[in-house]
Amino acid sequence: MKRFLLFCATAALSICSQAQDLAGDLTLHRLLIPGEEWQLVVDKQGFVDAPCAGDDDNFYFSDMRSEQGVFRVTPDGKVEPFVKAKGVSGMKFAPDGRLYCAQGGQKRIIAVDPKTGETSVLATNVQPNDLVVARNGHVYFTETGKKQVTLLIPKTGELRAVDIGITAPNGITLSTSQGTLAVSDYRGIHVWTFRVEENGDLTAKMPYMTMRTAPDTESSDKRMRAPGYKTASGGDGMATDTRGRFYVATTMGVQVFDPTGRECGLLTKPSDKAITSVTLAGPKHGFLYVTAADKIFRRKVQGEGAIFFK
Amino acid sequence: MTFNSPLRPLRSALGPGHFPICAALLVFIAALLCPRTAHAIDDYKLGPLSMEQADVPKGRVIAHTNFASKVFTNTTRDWWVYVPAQYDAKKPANVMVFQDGHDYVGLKGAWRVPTVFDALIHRGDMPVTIGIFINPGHEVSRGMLTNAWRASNRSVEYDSLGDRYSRFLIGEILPVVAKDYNLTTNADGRAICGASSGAICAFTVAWERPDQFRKVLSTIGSFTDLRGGNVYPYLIRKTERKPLRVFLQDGANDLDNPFGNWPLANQMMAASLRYMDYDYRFVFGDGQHSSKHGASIFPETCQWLWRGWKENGR
Repeated sequence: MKRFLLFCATAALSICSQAQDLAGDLTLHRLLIPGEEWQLVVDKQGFVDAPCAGDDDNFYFSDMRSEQGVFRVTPDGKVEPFVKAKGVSGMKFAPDGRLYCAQGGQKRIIAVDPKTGETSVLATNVQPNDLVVARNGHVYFTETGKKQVTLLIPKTGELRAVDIGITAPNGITLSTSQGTLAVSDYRGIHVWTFRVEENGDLTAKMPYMTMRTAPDTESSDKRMRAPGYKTASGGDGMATDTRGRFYVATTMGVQVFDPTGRECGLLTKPSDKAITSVTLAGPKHGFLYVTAADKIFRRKVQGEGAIFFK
Repeated sequence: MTFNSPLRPLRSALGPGHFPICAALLVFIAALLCPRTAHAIDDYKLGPLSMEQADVPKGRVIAHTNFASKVFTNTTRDWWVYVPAQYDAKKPANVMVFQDGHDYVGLKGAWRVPTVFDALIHRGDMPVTIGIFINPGHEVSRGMLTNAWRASNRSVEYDSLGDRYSRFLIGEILPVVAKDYNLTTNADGRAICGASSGAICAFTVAWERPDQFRKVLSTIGSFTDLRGGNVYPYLIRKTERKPLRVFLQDGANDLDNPFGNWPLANQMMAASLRYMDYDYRFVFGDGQHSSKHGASIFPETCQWLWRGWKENGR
């Protein structure tokens, strides 16, 4: 009997190599699904960005070089025109049912009604890169060139800087509770977080997550012992899942962090092209989508995307 | 030319508190099984597959000298290419690259790779494989090199993380060999091998470029803080599994010095590869910082590394 138990224990250990994970550890084994690799879902576009989830099973994206602008991919993989909005680099659905879009080239943020196609201008004379819309209707967007995070309250038209100083603020997302705002620094190594105050202010600024970068093989002193690492992560578009994990598109791939800011792991890029953004969308919001130049890839994961408009 | 291993004086046996439990168990079991054998540490000998056999067709070894690299500027190095007797220019051959090439290429040295390859290819235990044996670079300004182990750029090239060495290997060496020989471009058909710093170098190439090399053979690997290589066990656990097959060998009496503890570092590597469900094998003996154990099991290791090659075509 003893021998049998020992055998069982050994067998269990060898089958389950992750037997000693702590229950709270959101390891890669709790995210990836064996056999589920990146799959090409959209091809031959101009330059895709602004991946976005709705309240449905569709996936939405922008082709920044097309006249049409915004497309959707249906669960059966069909790519269809969605709304007309040119040069959108970031977009999210808002609680009012409209799609808010960052149009940096035209220095504005617009809202498009998907039913009528009607476009309203929410803010002008801004340089938005990416945006997120909270349940209360507040819009936070990154103005990368100005090193600024800006708040827009469409109801009142209020528009003001809420943070200045991140080297190149780029991707932006909320925590599941919407009590924390996270901003990736394209030219730095951190994802910065803030407490979101009721009036929209950002407080408690922290370099909460540290993104991995590649060893810098050119600049380091060849006699130095430790490797030099690149100081720009290429931290770009971000997403959040319902377990509180944060996802960032970076030069090295998709980097995932747990709610406490620890690194869960790095997902390999689907191609050698840079990835500009990431989101969870599709059926049950259970697919991780990345935009990479003229292509979009997705993979099924153990995770469900958080949506912020409801 | 001599084929000495880079043996450093062994500082001290590891303290009992550090002696790895699994090694202790192994020694205990071994002691039970063969009570009469007095065993000296690092007592490993080459087997018959490492000896030349009259009825085995012999491949050729072509020596090259003074390779001038654009990636590692102002360095020079010698290198060799082994071409098996069974090589057919019409069929792409597999590739295996050896760092510290001088230690592997000799017929009388520690490793005797050409002899082992002759035997294994003849037996069908591994595919027709072109061997590429590369010495580390030596800065031209430092004058004539008398001992290949002292090549001045060795640590920079081998211990550094990142893609620099792979750019040299893939961008500069492989194209030269490919001019003369039909090499496979299938990454599953390309292996890379090294000992000590050469081993972490081999791992780094596959880690950075799994699209180019997917088989790694590491003995007494320096996964320690010579130049930051101690991070690998942690990177492996937090990086989506790469499609690599990795062999690791180390010994309980390997180095323990300011840069780290080699036996522990290799056990960490093995544990991390296991944690991420890699196709890996770890052999842990009682050797020192030498190639005796690695070389003694090299034929079996190659059989493991190339297993399934007939079914997979690589």
